Amino acid sequence: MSKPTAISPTQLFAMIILFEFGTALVLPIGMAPGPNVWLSILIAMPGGILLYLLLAYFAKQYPSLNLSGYIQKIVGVYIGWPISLLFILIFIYISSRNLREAGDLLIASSYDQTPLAVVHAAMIIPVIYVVYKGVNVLFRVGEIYLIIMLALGALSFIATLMSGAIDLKNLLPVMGEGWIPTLKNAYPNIFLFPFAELFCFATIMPHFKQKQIAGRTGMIAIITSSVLLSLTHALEVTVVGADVYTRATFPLFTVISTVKAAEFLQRLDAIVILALIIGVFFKMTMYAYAAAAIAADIFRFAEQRSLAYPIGAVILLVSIMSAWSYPEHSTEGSRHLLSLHPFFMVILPVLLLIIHLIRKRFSHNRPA
Amino acid sequence: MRTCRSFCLLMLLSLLLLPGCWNSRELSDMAIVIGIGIDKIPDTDQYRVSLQIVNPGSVVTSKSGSGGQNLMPNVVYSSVDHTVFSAMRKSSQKVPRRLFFAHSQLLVIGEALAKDGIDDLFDFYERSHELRLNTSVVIAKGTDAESLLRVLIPLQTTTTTAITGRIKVTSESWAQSVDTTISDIVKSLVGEGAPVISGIRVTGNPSKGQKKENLEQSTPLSNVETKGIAVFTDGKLAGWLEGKSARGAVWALDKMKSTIVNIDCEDKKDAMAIEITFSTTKVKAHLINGKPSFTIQVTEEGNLSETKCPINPKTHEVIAKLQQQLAEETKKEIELAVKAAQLTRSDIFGFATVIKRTYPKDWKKMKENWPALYSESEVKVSVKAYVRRTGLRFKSYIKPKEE
Repeated sequence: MSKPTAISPTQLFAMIILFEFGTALVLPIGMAPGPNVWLSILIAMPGGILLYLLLAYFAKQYPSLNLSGYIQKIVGVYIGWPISLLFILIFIYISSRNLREAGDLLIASSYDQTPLAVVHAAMIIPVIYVVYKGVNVLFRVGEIYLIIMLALGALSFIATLMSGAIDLKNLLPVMGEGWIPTLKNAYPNIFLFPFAELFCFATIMPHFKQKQIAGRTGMIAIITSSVLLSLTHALEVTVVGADVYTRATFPLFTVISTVKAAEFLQRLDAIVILALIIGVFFKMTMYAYAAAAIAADIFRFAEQRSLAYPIGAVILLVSIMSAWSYPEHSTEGSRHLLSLHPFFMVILPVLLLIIHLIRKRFSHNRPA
Repeated sequence: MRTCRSFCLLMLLSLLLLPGCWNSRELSDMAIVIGIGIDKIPDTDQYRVSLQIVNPGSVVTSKSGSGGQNLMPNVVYSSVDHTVFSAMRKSSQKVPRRLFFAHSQLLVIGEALAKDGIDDLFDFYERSHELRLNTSVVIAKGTDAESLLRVLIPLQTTTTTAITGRIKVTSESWAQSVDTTISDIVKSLVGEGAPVISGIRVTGNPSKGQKKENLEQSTPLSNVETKGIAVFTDGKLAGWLEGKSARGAVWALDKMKSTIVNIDCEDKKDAMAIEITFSTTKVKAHLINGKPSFTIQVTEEGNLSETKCPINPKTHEVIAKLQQQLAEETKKEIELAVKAAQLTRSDIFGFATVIKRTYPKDWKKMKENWPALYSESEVKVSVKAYVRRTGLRFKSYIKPKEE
């Protein structure tokens, strides 16, 4: 029998896909997106898989410990504790960024008279509720919403196909500028967002039902999600062209609003908004949960659930106060993506691995 | 305790639903804008924006067949301001309801404004979430957008639906106009190509066309019709393609759906009608000594629909001759269009994009003096035509003339 807080492989699969979709489905990804963005996504995928396998390795080495738990084990409490504290801030910050993106799309697309705070508050409440209920509820909800998400995706894909708006020539020239820009777009940009963001799964790994297959399920999920992401972004470029894709605040929204199939299938904008809200909900909640889990661990809270309220409130406030305008938010995002993100999501885990391996070697040698 | 909890939950749940009402608008408070016209005020940088608003009462009652005949089907309000959006909002001084743009289907650009340049017209359309990027665009040929929108037209409730209907039908069955949307225009403005937009002109007496009596005639005193395709150079109206050259342009743009081509038979000119049922166009670019040249390859299929000559298409030779004639006629029309476009230096066929995709490196060098290169480049047209069917008869009843 499984423990009450055990996550099944299917649930993990669903969650990784929803998490990767999150905002990446709707926003332009990569900072210099051109007609080759779909290729960049596929090139960035192996990096995401490697990072994920690294997490799975840590989870196998320290099966009962959280991210903050094994950081403190590996580098010691004096360095590990402050790093874990910083992780809380990072996770809260990213969660609030996701909230802001969803809120701004909602306001830009339909709620032009509604204050940002109200939209955000309405969205943070279910997040708080789910974080309060625990990781199990979150993952079970994810299983259901994956089906909804895929159904929405299939519907809009068919409508786009039927509308005849797809012009494959927009994807040409493949590699017009050579390999370098495409590679540069993949590493670091797309590798960092959305793939490296999988790092926050480190906090839920202790809850996996079957630890051995977590790595394999995750890999399949990452491959599936990146293929779907790549397909979506390629579709966006074929419909609106590389130029509009680059200038749009929410390319997918623009794409869907131009789709008009069979005279009656039009203005499918609501689908994109739904997709964003669903995706953002899971991403935000994952980050909020990750922050709560680490906070509970390093401050030794007996009840992790009670942290849902303060963390939710902080996310709400940060999301509103972090930027004056959406363009500013967007610029800040790219700055953050290239400074904090690589350190916390990539360099740090790799350093941890190296230190861990060195320590393991020593501890093995001593008894022998 | 338990009741308190469920009460709190109820309050929280209502919080989820209530923001939906923040933006609420009642249908009866909205003025539904169906068509938008933009003109230039001469010698200023101001726009006159005309909004065509449907009269909901007239639409509903005329369908049920009583009463509504006395209502004007649509009303046009115009306002002048420096930006398109503020001119739209300014109209609210004259409209008793809140303007609602999500159903607008047509953008009419006055010819004077088109000549002045349309580059900076569409930013608002891109940014706004209410206006659609797949709105059709037409140029008011020989008039301004406002007077075009003011014409009342029988059969359709609003001028806008009348125009969008015409554009759709002509571009699909007569192919001398194109159905251009705002996203098409933006795409060609940001790329290296140039947009093509159909023209609509007012026939008859425009001032009488604005009155109700226009709807009470079997031949309307005034009407609107599609006429020609506008060609733009640097965002400014540079000329019109009309008749056969307009159709040639539609062919070269790969937008041909169906049309009727008349070809000669024996000594009679234009005596056979062939209906094009399928056509596809490919454009290829070549670089010879750094000079670009293009090949337009058309493959088309058609049916023999009418003849004034006694031909018997049962033999292969006759069909082969028909196909050859059809191919030649098509080629002639496309060449006509290409020549006219090259003359205005307007790259309406997107040749630059083809070069960019096939020779991305050489394109960077060519970019500088592309208009000159384009207007001098050699364009070959090759047409493969197939006549597949001849309707319900093989041989015509017309007897050959005895000499």
